[in-house]
Amino acid sequence: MSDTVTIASHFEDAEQQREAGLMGMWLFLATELMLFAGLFGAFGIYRGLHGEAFAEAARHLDLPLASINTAILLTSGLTMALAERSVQAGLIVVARRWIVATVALGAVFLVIKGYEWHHEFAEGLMPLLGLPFDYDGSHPAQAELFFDFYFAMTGLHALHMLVGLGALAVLWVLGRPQPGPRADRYIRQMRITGMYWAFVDVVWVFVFTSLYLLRS
Amino acid sequence: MHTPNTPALSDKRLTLVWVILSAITLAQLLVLVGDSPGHLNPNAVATFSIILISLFKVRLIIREFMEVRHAPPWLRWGTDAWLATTAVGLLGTYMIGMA
Repeated sequence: MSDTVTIASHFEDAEQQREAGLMGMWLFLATELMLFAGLFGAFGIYRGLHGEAFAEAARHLDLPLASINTAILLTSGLTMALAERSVQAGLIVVARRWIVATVALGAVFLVIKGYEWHHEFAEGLMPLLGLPFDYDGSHPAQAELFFDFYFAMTGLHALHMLVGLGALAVLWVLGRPQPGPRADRYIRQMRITGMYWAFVDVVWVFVFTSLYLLRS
Repeated sequence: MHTPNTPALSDKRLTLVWVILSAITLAQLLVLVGDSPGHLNPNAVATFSIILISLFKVRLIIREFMEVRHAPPWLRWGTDAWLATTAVGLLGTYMIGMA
């Protein structure tokens, strides 16, 4: 394989091609944002309509577990940024260790989330696929709507985490000392994955705030 | 926007950002618990504070972990404008829900 950067015909130079890659990622994240904005917007409207019922339903969620998960995801944001930083410094072996740490933290997050979902299923708070909804509060119909949103938002977030974990696994496999141009390409791939992982962090902060912390 | 030609992130700065993010998450929980341990404190001031702290957290992640701090002005302003719009939406729907 050649060590020179292949520049597509519609780019003037390697720098423009690099910038276009990052711009492409920002555009992709903007479309992702629109997807989540629709979901959060709908949740906000219903929360506005049924504030008391949604706050009561929120108190049925496991705040300590979600708080632990928040700490885990914020820490994974740090390990991912450190992986990026290591690659920029040419420390591929160190970067791979940070990638492993990020994947491990992401996996722990998903295991805890799975445990939380299982607990909600056992409590009868999973109004999906025709499952019975067994709610002891005073607004069961609105609470059911809240839990519909809860599973949609946390499920979509978990799906994005799985995609991120897949991308990190690929980066780990590709991570080895490489000559100049290919090292540049790896730095760019790491940068783009880092942006995606930080986006997953941002979405979780909103999920955590909207679903778990708004209790009044 | 960060490229391989711009300065690398600083480990110390990243760690400091993580400490701040963790500390303010803890602060959110303390605000929620309020001054009566064991009883969550769901009043409007506490909830407003929690929303504002979350928005600050998001800005910190975007600026530092996504490196928007080094990005061109249009991207810095764009993300801030998005955050301001989100703030209005979050606080607005919360206030409507209280009414």
